[in-house]
Amino acid sequence: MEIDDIYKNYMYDLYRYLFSLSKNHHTAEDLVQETFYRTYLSLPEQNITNIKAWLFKVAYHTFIDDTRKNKKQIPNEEIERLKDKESSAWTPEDQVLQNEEYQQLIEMVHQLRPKHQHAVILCDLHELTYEEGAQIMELNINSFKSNLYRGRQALMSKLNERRNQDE
Amino acid sequence: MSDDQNYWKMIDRSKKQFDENTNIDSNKILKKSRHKALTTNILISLAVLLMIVPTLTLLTYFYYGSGGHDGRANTQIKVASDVIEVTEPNMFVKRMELEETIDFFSMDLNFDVYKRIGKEEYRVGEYDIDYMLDQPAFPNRTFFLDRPHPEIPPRDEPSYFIHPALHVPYEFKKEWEIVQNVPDGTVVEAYISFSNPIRPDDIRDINPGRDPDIDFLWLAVDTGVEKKVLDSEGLPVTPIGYPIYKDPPTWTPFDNRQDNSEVFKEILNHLENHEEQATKIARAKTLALDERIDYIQENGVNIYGAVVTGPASEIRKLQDNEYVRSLKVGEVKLWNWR
Repeated sequence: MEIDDIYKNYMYDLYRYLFSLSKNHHTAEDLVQETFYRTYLSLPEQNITNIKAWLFKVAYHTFIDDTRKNKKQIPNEEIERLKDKESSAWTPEDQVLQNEEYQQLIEMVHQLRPKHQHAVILCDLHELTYEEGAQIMELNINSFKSNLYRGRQALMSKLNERRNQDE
Repeated sequence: MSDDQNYWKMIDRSKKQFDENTNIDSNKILKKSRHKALTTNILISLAVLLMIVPTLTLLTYFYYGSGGHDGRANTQIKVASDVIEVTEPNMFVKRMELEETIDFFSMDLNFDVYKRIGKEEYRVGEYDIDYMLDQPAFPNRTFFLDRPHPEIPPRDEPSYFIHPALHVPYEFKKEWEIVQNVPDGTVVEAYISFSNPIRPDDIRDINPGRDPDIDFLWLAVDTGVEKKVLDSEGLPVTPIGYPIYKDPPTWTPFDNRQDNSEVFKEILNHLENHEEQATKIARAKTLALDERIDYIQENGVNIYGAVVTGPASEIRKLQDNEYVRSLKVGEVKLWNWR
């Protein structure tokens, strides 16, 4: 049962990560389940030293596979997009009750360039180290750092812009 | 407050808020994932297990179907029937009738052996040979014979054909007695040995104009080792030779299309390639093929004995024949000489 306790510790992190990537509650939940399914299948063969990084890597691949699969269903694409809109169209109550701020943050992150996005999500939003992030994105550490730096700068300026608007 | 601090504070706050509002059942998710993984594993194992039998069967058929000109199974069948035809006097396998059962990397070969006595063929035994891959186990032989040959060939003494260089054992006197006392109205299979080795074509001189009225069934070939009844390594050998069919059945290689002695040489060469398997199936401990092939190449095919069949009255006449030195009686059957 030990391994399950470790998994539970990272469950929220994984959910948040997959939500950050997919921007959809249902997709994120399904992908969390798929991620753990994959870890259960492959765990006995691998000697894992860094569970968190490994879980994130598996989660990322799960997300990529899922995106690819959905892309193939071309006739459904339009419907999916509508669905996504629906689920991300928040009612006023939701906005009060739910994670309004994070939602907005993610919307902003998604305006960044894809590589910057992912670097920011990994390092700033989920506290992975540079090495771990670079490994997941399959980049060398220097280009990962530069992606992260540029993404962070862009995000900060967007945040400032918004604060100025609010004021 | 600096931009940097603002940034981190903002992230921290929104994260906390998000996590507080997130409502996911971690136990349920883990349980579901684990269950799904377990099911997948079981299904994969099941599929692998189910694939074992078809894979083995396929590999086995591929194994027996491939290798050599007509596949390993057919090669072994040919070796088995050839070795019986050349080492068991007047005994043959009807190659169309043999049964093979192929299991995982093993083959079970079952067939009957026949002798011609008088004018008819009689089923005289069964062979059961188990092969592991292409290696046969010692065959299970069952013979229904009145006078079978010894299962293990005796050392140092010939048991039915006597080479001209050896003297005739005392017991062979009794054989003429048997022939004298066998009633008329029967047909006899007899092993006769000659005073001198002769060419295959000269056997007709023994019964010129068919007097005595007998048929030659099998000829024993002098291959050098018969003088000692031992091969160069001191192991006992049994006679080797080839059959003669007046009206050859379709399945035999001795089909009179070319001289039987030539076919005999070809078969020896083929058997030499599979000598280990052939020796297992033969009754003799050794076939000494290398030695025998060399001798035949040097000296040609010479006959020193033969299996003959005919009515008892005709066989009796052989006692006074100048070519015949000794005789041993094989099977005796009721009259069928027409």
